[in-house]
Amino acid sequence: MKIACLLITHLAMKSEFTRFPELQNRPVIITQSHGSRQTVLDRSQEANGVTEGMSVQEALSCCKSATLLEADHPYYEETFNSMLDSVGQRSPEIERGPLGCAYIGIDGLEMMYGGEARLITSLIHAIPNNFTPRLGLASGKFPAYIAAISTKGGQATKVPNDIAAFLKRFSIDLLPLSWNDKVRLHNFSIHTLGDLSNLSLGAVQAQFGSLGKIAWELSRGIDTSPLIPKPKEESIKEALTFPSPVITQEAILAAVEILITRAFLRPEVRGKNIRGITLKSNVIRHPTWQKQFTFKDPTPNVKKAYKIIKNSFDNIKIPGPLEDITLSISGLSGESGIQTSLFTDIRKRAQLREMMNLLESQLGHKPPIYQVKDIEPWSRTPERRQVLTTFEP
Amino acid sequence: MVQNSRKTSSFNYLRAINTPIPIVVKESPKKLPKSLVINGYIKHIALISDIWEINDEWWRSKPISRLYYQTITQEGRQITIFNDLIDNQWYQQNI
Repeated sequence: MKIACLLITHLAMKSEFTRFPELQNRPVIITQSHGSRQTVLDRSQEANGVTEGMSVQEALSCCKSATLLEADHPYYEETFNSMLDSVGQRSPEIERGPLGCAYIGIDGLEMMYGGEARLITSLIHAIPNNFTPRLGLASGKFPAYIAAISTKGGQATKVPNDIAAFLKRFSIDLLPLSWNDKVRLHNFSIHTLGDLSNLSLGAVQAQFGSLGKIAWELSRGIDTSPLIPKPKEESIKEALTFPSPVITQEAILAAVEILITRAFLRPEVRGKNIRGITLKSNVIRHPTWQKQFTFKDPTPNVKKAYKIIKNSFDNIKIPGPLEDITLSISGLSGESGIQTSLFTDIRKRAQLREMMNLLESQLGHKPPIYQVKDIEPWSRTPERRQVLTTFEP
Repeated sequence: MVQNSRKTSSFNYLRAINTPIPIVVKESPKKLPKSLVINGYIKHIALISDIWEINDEWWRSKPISRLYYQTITQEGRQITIFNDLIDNQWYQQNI
């Protein structure tokens, strides 16, 4: 199978340059928060001495004049997804990897494009020039990825027939292994894929187990993992721009109600159940705000869907004034009805029993759940009529 | 032969509900409730809408003999109280 690995390095930075061209040729650092800790997600070429994963304080001490940007993950995801949609018009088989990386099945496409070179050109042209995509071609995903890494921006590299010879000069750090395993390999003086492939499989397996076998095979260019194309999801979008930025819950909910009603009127949605709704909004001086609502049961009912969102809004913190709002409907299902159980009572009791067992294991004793039982409902004395008993479903 | 499991009998899991709650009642010269103290607040009775007597379980060591009053407080709240005719104590109870 022929696989092309599409690699866009520094996608976050390149996306920000597309949005804010005035930042180009300046030291820029994109930061992300991990609780109270802020680290560098990406940086521009001009931010000398700064590396990804570094703390922001350290990065600023290296590059004092840098402009700091807060990471806008929804925007980067949307940018990458739109690129994949564009690539999807060339090949239907695309497996999405981490942000900026995707594997494309290109078997049989050369004939359509009049040769492999034209196909590669077409794939590279599917991505905007300023993102300088790299393409690696091989018979497996790992060698294709290595080929993409070794390529210059806007160019492609095809792995030669002797894959092991091509891979041998690359570091073992590129293997999909844990940090500890990589450190162990270095401790054994195995620094390159060539060092690893020169060993016998048994020796590697004895030290690293099944992961060692996978690493050894990858170092020889053997990657039999299949390409799993992402399923094409139908998504319905409705958007609205506020005349002036809004922050009040009432105004946002009013907009959501308009959008949800509009979306449900679309012919693609009519008569279908929906599983989830995503709200996305550009926020003044903040990264894009995004919130996903997943329904427990798919619903065809606009009022029910709106009610779920409305009830969830009390616990949602809006980061700042919203400039616009986009509502996307996902998970459309063609069910026309919901199948119920013939024995609802039995199922309910089984669910209750399960819940009670769970509570008992969590609390360490019988949960204090009681039920009211009539014992002498005819009694003239009120306290004789009913009692509380432990609940046994 | 079945051995005694020594497990607590399931009867112990029965918990009485709607048991009478002792309250302080100020009586009128005619021995009718005039005001009550509930949770530390004094409630003045505006109207007694019903009175009935219960005599039950006379065969037990502690028989029941109560005089119930359906009262309406000045705030318009309906409260049922009774005077235990055996120990002459006042109680509140939902009917």
